[in-house]
Amino acid sequence: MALVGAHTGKAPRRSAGERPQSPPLPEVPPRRKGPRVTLARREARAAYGFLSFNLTGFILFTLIPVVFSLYLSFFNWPLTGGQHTLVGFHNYSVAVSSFGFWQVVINVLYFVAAYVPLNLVVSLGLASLLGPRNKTIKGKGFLRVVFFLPVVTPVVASSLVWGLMFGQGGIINAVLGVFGVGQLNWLGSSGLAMPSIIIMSLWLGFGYNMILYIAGMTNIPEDLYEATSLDGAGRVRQFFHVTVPMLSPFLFFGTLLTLITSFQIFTRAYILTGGGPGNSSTTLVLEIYDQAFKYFRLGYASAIAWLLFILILIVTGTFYRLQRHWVYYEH
Amino acid sequence: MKPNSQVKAKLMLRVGAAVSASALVALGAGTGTSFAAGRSGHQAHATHSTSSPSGNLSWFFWVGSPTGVHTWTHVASLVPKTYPNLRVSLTTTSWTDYWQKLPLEASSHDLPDLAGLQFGYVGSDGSFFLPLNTLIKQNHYSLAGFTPTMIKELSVNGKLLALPYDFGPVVIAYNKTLFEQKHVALPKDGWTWAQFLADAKRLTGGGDYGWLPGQSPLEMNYDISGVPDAYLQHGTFNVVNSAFITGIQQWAALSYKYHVAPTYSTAPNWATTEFASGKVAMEPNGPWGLEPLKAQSNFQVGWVEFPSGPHGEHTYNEGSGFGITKDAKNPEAAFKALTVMLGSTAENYAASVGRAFPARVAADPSWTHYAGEGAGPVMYAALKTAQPMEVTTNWTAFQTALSKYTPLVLSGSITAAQFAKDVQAESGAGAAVSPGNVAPLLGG
Repeated sequence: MALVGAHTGKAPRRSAGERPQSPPLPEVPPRRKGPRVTLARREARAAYGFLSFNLTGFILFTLIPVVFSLYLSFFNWPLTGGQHTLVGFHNYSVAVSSFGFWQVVINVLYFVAAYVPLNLVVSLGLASLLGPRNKTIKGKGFLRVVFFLPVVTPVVASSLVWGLMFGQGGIINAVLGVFGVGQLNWLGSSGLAMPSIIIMSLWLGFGYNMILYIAGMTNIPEDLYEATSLDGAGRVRQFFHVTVPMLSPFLFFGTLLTLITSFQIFTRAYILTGGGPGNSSTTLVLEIYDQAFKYFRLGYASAIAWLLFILILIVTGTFYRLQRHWVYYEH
Repeated sequence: MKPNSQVKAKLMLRVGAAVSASALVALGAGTGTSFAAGRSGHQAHATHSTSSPSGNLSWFFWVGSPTGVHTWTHVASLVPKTYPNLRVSLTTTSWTDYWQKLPLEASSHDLPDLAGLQFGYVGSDGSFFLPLNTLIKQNHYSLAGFTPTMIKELSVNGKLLALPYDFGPVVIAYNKTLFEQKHVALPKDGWTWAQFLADAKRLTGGGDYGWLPGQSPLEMNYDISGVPDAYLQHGTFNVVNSAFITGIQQWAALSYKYHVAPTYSTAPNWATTEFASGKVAMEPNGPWGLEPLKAQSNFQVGWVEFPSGPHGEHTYNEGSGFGITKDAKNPEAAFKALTVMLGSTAENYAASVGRAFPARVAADPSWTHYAGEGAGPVMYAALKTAQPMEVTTNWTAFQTALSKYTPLVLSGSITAAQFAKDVQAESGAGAAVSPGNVAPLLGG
């Protein structure tokens, strides 16, 4: 640039109060005609550009179907043939007044009540064993990968394998046989079908939370453990009074996600038991699927989907509000 | 923002906008194409008529094994040999998925030109198919070669929805090798329920079982109760009756009381896999089950009619066919293709590889030759008394309910009466689907 002090390389000296002499400016090309675009607007445009990928997919494949499903829920809407008739809240009232619907809701609550705490205990337990503070276990990296593998395994494939393992002559009955337990009809008995799905879900799901909690544990300052150690706290006390409070935001996040996905369980139930025997392992999403694609009642299926949404909203909303009592945010 | 960042942001903006616009255009175009195809299909119904058909036809069908895919691909390849400008492309899926995909395609007016139709689904899915009566008449096509039973089973109110490709009675398939290993005399037609139960007990033990409950509780219901279609009462769907309950009770007792059957599973293809494993001696089956069985097993298969109960021996006759869907772009060409796919050459071929006991009866010897000694006489004997199963408008829901509660009644967790009540509650209302008067189709 050849502006001020081009010859000497120094700025020209001026006395106090003297208005600086403006040097002659080079000719600036005239501005293009049109509206003046501010920096904020340019940045907003860029943001929309980045967002547009996701936003397009979200609008097309999530927002429109979700809104349409609400519309469908007020209609008697057979999949093929027949008239689409407006029935108002009839689908909702049929659902909430049917014994079958509440049986399915109880199935889901049973699954959630058993699976979520088990997932928390197993994932937190393994995170403690394979976390940064445990120096006694060797090959922790390898073990973390091993325990995380089920998360990245296709659910359909793993469900089919578990179906074989639970079957007559399967490995689970064979192992139990060693301990004198007779052949159990895991998938064909109404008492064992849901526990089978819970066991399989546990295997499939704890790895994600385990990695999440390990990540959280690496952020806990070591001096807290040193301080409590000086105060005479043992490992168990440190776990409950340092690890758990410091990890509580991670525990909250992990449990919240597990809770939501538990209400939405489908594939494992569909493949392992098909919702049976009877309706003993039918989940809400499986019921939605059956109503829509086996009985072709799209309106009724949509109504159940919205009832499920309300159920999840209530449970997660309550869980969210309760965080103030047990989640510790450092800042 | 640095100048470099601005350039990048602008680039991202443009790329993002382009991708989003492309996605929208592609979706719109896809939808438009779909609608256009639907429309052109409907237009073709009215206008297309040619003696030299041409084009590419899509064909959707259920298949249970890789050899099945090969068989039907070969059948499709026969079409251009008769009509050089006509091609048929086969798409397959499993039995269960087929009956879920077909309605979805029908709802989006995207059905293939040709599709399979099993007798049980004429009530629930028959509306997806074009009645063939007019095309049969226009083409002077004779149905004389087909078994009249299947013309009736694939008709609703006198309208034929598909040309049949196979049929056959439900009988008992047995593992000859296991009978010989256990020193049990091979069963013969005319045997009784007492003999059947005694054999099943003797064949059970050492990890082997005498009996497999089969694909559906309906298969033996008629034989045990002596009442055909006991799920219907005066044309209305109603399973809560003594005949249906008796049939279920005796059938389930083989599992929960006499313990001659392995624990039932709802796993896909469980019955086929279990019987093919060689550890089960008998199962209800039909000629359609032989090809996948031979492919998976290494024992000799024998056939015998159902045992005679207090009401004699009774069984059903079942079968399937191929039809033209309502979204077919060129029904005339599709009909021409059907005539080849169900002609003598195709039927003899499908029978010779075991895939079908042909509905075109002249081709039946090809199947009996494939099946081996003893199979033909059993099938022919059973067919003499076999009755077509009357289907209902709620067939899909009925079958779903049956499969849901079967494990419970077989394990003895619920009684047959409770089973009937549960199935009734889940299946919803239904009525018999009438085949109507098919005599004009048969030249009567």
